[in-house]
Amino acid sequence: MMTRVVRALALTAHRWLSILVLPSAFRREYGEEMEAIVRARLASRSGPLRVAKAGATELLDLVRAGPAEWRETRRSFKRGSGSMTGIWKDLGIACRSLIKRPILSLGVVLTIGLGIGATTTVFGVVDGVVLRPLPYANASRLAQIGTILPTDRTVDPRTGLQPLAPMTTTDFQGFVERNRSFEQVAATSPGRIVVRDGTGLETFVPIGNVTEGFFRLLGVSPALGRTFLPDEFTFPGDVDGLQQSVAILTYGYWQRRYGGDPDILGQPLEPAGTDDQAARSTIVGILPRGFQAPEALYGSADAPQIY
Amino acid sequence: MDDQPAVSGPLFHILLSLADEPRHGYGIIQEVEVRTGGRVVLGAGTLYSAIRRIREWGWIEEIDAPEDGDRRRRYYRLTEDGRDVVRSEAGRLQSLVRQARDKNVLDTAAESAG
Repeated sequence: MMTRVVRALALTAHRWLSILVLPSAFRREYGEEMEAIVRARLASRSGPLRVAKAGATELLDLVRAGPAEWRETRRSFKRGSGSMTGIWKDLGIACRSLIKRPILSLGVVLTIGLGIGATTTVFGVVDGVVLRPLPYANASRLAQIGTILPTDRTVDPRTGLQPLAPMTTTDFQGFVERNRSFEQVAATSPGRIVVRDGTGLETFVPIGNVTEGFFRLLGVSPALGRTFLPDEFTFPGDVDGLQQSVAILTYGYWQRRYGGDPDILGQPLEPAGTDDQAARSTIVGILPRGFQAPEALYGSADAPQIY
Repeated sequence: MDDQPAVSGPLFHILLSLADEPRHGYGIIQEVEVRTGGRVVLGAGTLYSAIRRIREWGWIEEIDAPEDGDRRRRYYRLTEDGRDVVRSEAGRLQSLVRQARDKNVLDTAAESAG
């Protein structure tokens, strides 16, 4: 009985002394094993005196080992491998190195900046050209048709492909007649007309000459009025001719030029008239707000305000 | 190995006890006690302080418990570096003993005992 009490006391004393004299990291690593040894050693002794002597020997041993472990812990901390481990240690080293070598640091910052810039640019292009769908109904079923000229060696930097050259009216007519691949086909070309602005000055306004199915193909319904009717379009000598006498305004142009007046429908573009024949076309519809002209079709020309 | 710290008595005994087979901590203590006839008794603190150091130096390594071992205990094995250290230290001690013998400070009884 007495032996058991002494054994329990010795073990408890060893446990508490461990907490006092050993660094926590060492205790976490070896504490359990040490206690198992002390327990086994105390169990192997019989009689309270022998157990007490064995316990005292272990306690003294612990007191001797403790300072050495604390010295080692402090050394590890100074080396940066103690509690300051892993990512914090690496960050500390990185910061100190960067401060010590400003030119190298500048180079690193510029390199990273260039890398991020280049990646952002490439993503922007890929997003605009490949990822983001066109702002039209059934965008995935739209395709641009054009001519590839064998003599043209230029490459579109955005797509990496040879650019499509415009089709002539004759080619387009031939294409429409023989078309079996596309549900609908429409054509457009940029142009401009001369109109008077609100103050009476004559100005150029960018327009889009379109075939009659153009807006139906893009899935665009007008905000006011209507789009073109089949009998309002005939192939002229050239699509650029704008022979048709009806016009559709973009929402923005309608707001700016006519103050959003709904009675403008059925009126000519330019009541007073200019020398430009097209300026006398009758307004039959207003496109919805937010409609975007297909960028790829107008190249460097300004987006049309009138169709 | 040139900047290897001096091998103290307890360290040498621990390494020597692992020379023939892997052991757990209490196994090392028992082997040393038996081998030295009870003259060297390692405490748990001394043992694990030494184990911590010689593991860092790569002289011993921890292994899984052998098939017939106690799975609750952590076992250690001598590495090749550790074996070199034991060999080198034993050679140094042998050389010392030879020098002592040359000086006739060892009598036959002491020699056979030691």
